[in-house]
Amino acid sequence: MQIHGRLIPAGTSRQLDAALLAEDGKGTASELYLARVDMDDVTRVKITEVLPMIGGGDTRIRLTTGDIFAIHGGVDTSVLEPHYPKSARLGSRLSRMEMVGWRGVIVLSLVFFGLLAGFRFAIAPMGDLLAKAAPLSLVARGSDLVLAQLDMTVLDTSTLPAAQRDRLSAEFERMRRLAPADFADTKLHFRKAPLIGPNAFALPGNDVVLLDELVIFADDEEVVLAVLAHEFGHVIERHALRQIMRSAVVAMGVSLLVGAEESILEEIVGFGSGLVLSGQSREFELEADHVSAEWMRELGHDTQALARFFKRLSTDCGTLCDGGGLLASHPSFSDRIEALTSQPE
Amino acid sequence: MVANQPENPFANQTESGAVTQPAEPPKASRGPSAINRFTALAFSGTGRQLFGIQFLNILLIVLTLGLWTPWARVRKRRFFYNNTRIFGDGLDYLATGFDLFKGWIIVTVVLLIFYALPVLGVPFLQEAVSLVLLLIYPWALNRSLRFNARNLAWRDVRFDYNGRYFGGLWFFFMLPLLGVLSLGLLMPLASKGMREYLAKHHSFGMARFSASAPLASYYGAGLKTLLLALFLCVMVGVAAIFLLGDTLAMLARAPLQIDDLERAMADPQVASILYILPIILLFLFMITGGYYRALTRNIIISSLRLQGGVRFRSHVSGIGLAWIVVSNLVLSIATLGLLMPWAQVRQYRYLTVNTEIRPVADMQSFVDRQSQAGSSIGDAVGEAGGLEINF
Repeated sequence: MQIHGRLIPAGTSRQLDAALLAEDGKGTASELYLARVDMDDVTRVKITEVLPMIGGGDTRIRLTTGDIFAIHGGVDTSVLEPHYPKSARLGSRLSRMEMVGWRGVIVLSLVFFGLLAGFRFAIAPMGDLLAKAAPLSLVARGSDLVLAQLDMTVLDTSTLPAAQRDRLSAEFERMRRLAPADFADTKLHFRKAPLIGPNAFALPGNDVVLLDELVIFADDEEVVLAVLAHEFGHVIERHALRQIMRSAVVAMGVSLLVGAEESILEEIVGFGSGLVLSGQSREFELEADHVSAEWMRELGHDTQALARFFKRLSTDCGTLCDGGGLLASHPSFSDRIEALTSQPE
Repeated sequence: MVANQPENPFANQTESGAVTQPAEPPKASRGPSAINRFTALAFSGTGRQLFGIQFLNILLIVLTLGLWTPWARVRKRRFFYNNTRIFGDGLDYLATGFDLFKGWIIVTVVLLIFYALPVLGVPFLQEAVSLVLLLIYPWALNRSLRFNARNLAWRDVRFDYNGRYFGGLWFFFMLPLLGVLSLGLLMPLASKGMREYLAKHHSFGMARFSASAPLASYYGAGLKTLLLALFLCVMVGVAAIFLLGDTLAMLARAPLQIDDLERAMADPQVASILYILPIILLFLFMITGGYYRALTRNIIISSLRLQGGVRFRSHVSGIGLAWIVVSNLVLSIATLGLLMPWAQVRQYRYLTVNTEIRPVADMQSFVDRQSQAGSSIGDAVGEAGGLEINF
């Protein structure tokens, strides 16, 4: 069989018509001959190096003579494959597989969407599995480091009256008794943070941080206790660690699926995954609200304190900050109030 | 002739002096006719071909848990380069996946150490490592540029890049930073500096590139982009007034009360506008970005010279490129990335076919000179190596 192409003799860019002559259909390498337009005889050659065709581009072959033989992209070169060095055969076969027809486009699209769907549904279980596997000592150390860094940057020592801190600590101690054994050592940290404002948060380890600004803003210890119970809910459900691990799964998955693209496809899939993570974070918040209401009931406190707090926030702030939405990490106040008020007393 | 040897299919034609008619016209014959005339580059790849490459790559990456990534990148780059045809001949991208893999391993190890420092109990070292990474960034960028240039060849002659550390630091980092800090006033200066530095430090074989366009032309491009941005902002403003006339009139009443704001927010039209505002801004940014890129591309390429008498020209339309960029983004998002390969090929082809080359002498003898000067692939195959260190 004759494969026509252009020969670039070694050490020159002169191009002349030539052909490689190979036996057809055996699948094994026999003899390979080079025929040149400027010579009568053919020369026996071997292939030393190949840049196989990719996506319809040219195939470039270096021969034992040092010459380069270039084959136009449209030419079927499979007959030459047995003559390729072993290292080039895989690339050549892959190139042929990549030349998909419309049917191949449909199949690959379906596979891609299957992978995306699989990825979407794997985020939560994979992340939770990693969270479960994380050594507790390492998590506790990470939590300490985060708190230490926050202390160095935005957190100050609490200036709440000692009596108030003692009261809140005593109630927190009662909550600890309700918590499963793994979380019986959960610590309450009092801090002040004018830059952050009224807030409380749970860290990936067994740590809850309460800011003075929240206590002052709430002006109602039942509300503060409800918030503490909410944060404790995050701790016993390991929400912070699970969210970190799920984010890690997303980052790894996105980079695995489309990271090699060096294109906006990475941003598109990343944005979609971000929406999934935000949705899961909103679920976590509702779970923590639920724990808060349960514990407040068990400890004989006002089960509607949290709902009252959200109503107040909603009234103070108006529709401007009802929150919620696809991108939000927290559900809207209205959704949270509805969930809390529909919970049995 | 040995008895078992096949016959030369060209033998009869050469005896009679007839010219063989191969599957494709001989490319070498196109050279001389192109002397002193601008000839457009061509792109022979298709979206479907890129689709096959990209999506098979995704499958292989998943199956190999990410190890295929460097090979995937090489295949995609080879697709674009190989199908970029100058006088009919494609560019050759010679790097292998393993070459990229080496750089990838180094970057992974460095980043792992970086992120592990706090867990290892030395979080303060992160700042020191950040500083070191910042300082080695220009070096890594130069290495990557050199790696990619040296692995690119046309007609068996390699390209090269020989940028220096401080040049990279100034033109790729400091000057663009000054451009941003000056609220864009120095951005055209940064564009000129960066593009010309890149051009002047590239070479083809032994022939060096050069480029020098007046600074005023870059400022002209900046001014045109600014006018386009203003025009688009006015259009968006007019559309907003048309859609939200009543609400805006209410908000314009002084003094503004929080109740007014709440009522405005309760308006579903206002709420939806607030949702799409970031998207509108993104599109404005993409349109003006694409427009500015097209204009400055035309300037740099049209001023580009290759030692030995080769000139270039680019006539990309600013609005045309902006339209391609924006419509590609819409199509890619709407199809969850499925049309991405077609979008990428469409943009690449547009840029390629609007780029022209004009040799002042026979291109073949020019290439021969570069090849004989010791820059052919065969001569330098061992030195190609190097690393692509991409953070």
